[in-house]
Amino acid sequence: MKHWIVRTLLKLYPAPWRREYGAELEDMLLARPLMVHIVGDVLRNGLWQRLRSAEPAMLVGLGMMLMALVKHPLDTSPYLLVLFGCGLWTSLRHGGDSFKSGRTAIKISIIVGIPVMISGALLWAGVLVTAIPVAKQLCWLRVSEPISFWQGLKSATCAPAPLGFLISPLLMLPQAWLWGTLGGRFGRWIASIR
Amino acid sequence: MARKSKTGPASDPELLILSSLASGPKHGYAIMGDVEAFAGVILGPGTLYTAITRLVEKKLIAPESGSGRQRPYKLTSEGAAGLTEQLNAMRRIAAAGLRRLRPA
Repeated sequence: MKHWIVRTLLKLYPAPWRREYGAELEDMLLARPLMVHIVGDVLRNGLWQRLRSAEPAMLVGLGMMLMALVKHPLDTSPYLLVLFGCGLWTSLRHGGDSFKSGRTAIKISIIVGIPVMISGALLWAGVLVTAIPVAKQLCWLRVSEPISFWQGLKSATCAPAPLGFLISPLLMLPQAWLWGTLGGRFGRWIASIR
Repeated sequence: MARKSKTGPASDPELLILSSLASGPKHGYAIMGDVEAFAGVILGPGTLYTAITRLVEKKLIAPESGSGRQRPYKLTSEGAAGLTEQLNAMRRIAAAGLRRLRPA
């Protein structure tokens, strides 16, 4: 049981970190009693290491997801500008083709859409029930923009379709890819004139 | 997490590890015991290895090739210089503070 807990805790750390220090930390944890404060310490530091090693795209995505969750939604234009900016930054920082910038924007878009997709899955499973009267006909919300999704939900006059929740963030991906790629192209142009 | 109620620079995990390694190379478990003995601070295993990671990245300490899974770490010349500088600064501050606390 202790071995299993220690192995699970170590999985919180990023793989490159585990390769370097994992064996030492594992031995240390197995050699002493596994108290709650030690588990908390390893947990906290594991998440910190994970955050430190995260790609910028993931951090931007998480930040925007949190913004959307605390109900401070961005309008579409600034959101697209962020995707463009991330594409530009990726191109200037890492070079390469502009498709890499597009992939970065897609990654951000997926992360931002995760809560919306989870909501859709929960609605579908009947775990989550919206406050909007179900008697009204199901409709497709304008949820293709996850960042302004919650705002759209508040002003909705009909019950949202679970499938709409579930797939709406995916509908955003081509647009995200396009803006990220455009940012990447712009970055390549800047690099060429520098 | 550095446990016990000590706060301030005296409980900074990086400084404690550097001070521990000043007496010679040690592996993680030995550092933890040494820090507890000389500073009275119990470093959590996660905190210890997070601080070791940072110190290795800053090139203030370096792993030695050890036997088994536990590698000893040693202080580098940059680490020794940095530690000396920090401890001297702390000594100056401590001396000034104590002088001012003394009744005139």
